[in-house]
Amino acid sequence: MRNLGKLISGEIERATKYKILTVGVGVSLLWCIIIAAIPLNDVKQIVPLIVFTDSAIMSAILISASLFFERNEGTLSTLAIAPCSVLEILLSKIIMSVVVALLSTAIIFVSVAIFHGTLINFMLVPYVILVATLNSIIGVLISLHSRDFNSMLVNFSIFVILLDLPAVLASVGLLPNWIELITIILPSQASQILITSTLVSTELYQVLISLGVVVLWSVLLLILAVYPKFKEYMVKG
Amino acid sequence: MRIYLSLLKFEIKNILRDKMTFIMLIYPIIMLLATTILLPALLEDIESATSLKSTIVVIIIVFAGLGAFIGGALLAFLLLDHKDEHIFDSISVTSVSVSGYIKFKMVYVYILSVISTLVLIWGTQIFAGEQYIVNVGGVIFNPFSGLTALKTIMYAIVMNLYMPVLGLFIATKAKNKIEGFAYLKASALLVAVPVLLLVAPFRLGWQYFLGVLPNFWASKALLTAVYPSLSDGFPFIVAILIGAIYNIVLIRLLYKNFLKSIQ
Repeated sequence: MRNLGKLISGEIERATKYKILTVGVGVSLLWCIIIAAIPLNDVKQIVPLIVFTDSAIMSAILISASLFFERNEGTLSTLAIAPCSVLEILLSKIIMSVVVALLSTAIIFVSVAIFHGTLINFMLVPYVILVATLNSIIGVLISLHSRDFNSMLVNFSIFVILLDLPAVLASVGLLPNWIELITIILPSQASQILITSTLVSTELYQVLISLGVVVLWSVLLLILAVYPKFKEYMVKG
Repeated sequence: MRIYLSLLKFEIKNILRDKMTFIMLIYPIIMLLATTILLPALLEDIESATSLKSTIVVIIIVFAGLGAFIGGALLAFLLLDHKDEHIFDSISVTSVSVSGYIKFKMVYVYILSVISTLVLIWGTQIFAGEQYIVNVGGVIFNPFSGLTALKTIMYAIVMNLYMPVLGLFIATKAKNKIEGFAYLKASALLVAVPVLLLVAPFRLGWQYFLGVLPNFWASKALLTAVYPSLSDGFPFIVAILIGAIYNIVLIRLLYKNFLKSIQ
């Protein structure tokens, strides 16, 4: 793991070069204006949705697009012969994705505190780390199973419609409790429950199950689906 | 003209092979299933009549505007893909000019997008319209009563003008697809515009600050038609006209900038 630091700094450099960090911060600042303008009750509905979009949907799509671009550039196949392990390369990308999600969350967190005098539960930080990690792994998985950029877009759209739509409906209170309970096994729904629980009171058992679901999906997908195929994906170029 | 007809024939032949067209065709069907089966079933569980009313309005205006956003994102990535793969260089040596090809693609996606919006609104109205009618304190609220066929067509035409605005904006600003996704993240704010129109502070004069966003005026027009009592009395037709003029000006400016960016 001695190369991880170098790989992460390289990822940060890339994120800055491709304006992922700059635009991310800019968007969060725009959200701050809206948070300042709306009443606290609406903030409690909108903030979990913003954090969910940033840490779940955007983490998955940004890592997916980034991998495609790197493969086309040929940098991934170069990295394959560099003196660092596949796991280190994979982790550096996931960590970068988590950093971007944490940055946006921090800005939202501070703006809610400043404009509404309300502190979001500090558990939001570990939850965002877990949610962004899981969704980054899903993003890599989407890349691994897409032939070209267009098929990645289609796969991603299917992923959003099938998995993220129930979570979005639940976050605006449109899903009945029994459906919410069944769909808790979905990565998106579990992610949404964890994030919402930091602003809206949620049953402890729901939080614990969601926590278990997010961790379990992350470990299973990483070990069984992503890690074994990632080296082959890098080398293919 | 014959060249564009050939391009159209090619697009029709590849309708299922081209992933972008595939999404544009499948999207309204999925959304229609959601607005006619899934959402009415979920609405039955909402007990408060007032929140039911605003939830119905949010559903209608968010879903109606989603197609333009998806179309814009797809157009942006199509243009960025062509930019990355130097496809415009290849097109420039064919009988189709680069500007002609871009215009064709924009019009093609725009028409698909307008049809999607109409299918979604009319389909919801025909197959599940009654399920969106609610009784609030003895007063019947029917969101579709003020939405005539003409108003729906005008809305679809103007709302979808922001599709090329979004596509050209992302494709001009971004140097590659990753930057494109970063800008798409910024554009996600546009999806929230219709919802913001219903939030208390934005119901008054503050909402006009959102007027710089390309989908504001069409969303405002739809809100006026669907939920007049929440609107500030701004006429439907004026909002539609401002939206149309504003978006056309933006398309012209962005189109010129995009052409410059690929030269």
